[in-house]
Amino acid sequence: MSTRVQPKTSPSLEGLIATIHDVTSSRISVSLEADLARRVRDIAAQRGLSVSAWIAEAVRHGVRNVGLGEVIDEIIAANGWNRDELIAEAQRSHYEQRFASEKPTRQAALSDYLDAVLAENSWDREELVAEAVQARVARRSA
Amino acid sequence: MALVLDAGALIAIDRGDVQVIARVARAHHRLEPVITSAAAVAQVIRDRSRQVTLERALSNMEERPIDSGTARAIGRLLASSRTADVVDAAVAVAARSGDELMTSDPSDLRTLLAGQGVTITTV
Repeated sequence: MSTRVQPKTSPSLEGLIATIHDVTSSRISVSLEADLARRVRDIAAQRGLSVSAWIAEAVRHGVRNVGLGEVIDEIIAANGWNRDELIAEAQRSHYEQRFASEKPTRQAALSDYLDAVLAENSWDREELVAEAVQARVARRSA
Repeated sequence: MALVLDAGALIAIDRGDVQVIARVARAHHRLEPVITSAAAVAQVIRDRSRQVTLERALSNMEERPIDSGTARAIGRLLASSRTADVVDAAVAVAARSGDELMTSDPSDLRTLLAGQGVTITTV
């Protein structure tokens, strides 16, 4: 991907709107692979946005994510916390609270939790079930 | 999915609360947007010089403004839920099905978001 910044010479409608709202905007030309560009146009059209508006929102999200990561990393470092442990604990707590607070969707939450545990440990659901069944049969016959 | 923060969760960030920082770190790790409402920001921002971390965190969150459409959505939600807290309702309006909302006051937000598919977690 290559980028170049061009000075705005003729005002577009979006540029005019930005001026009205007293927002400074810059025009950046971005080259994308043909397949990716097609996908971007499709997604923007589905959401009723211009390609420019959709890309701007995606970039805004990316920039925020980087900035928030920097703030969080500083707080974690200042307190001597372990980032991976912190995220793992948040993950566990999220599923616990979701499971406890949403009775009507408990089954879905449990399924999500199991899927997450299976994925995190690279376990195969069918193998796990087969092992559990075998263990139960063995216990009964013992 | 997004992580939505109410005023209590923002105050917790300002205090360096490990539980909220962990939730924000999880959202960041999963590339999920972190959202709050301008109403919640108004409730917590007091002194920029003493709230440096919170200001930096806020500048990297999506802060939903209260425009005329949002104001009407908030009013309708207050009417249908028979509640009166505009700030809570503004945070509730910012949340979508599948989102997680962190709050220090879960009971009111559970009333506002009943059946909306938003997971409410307590600070």
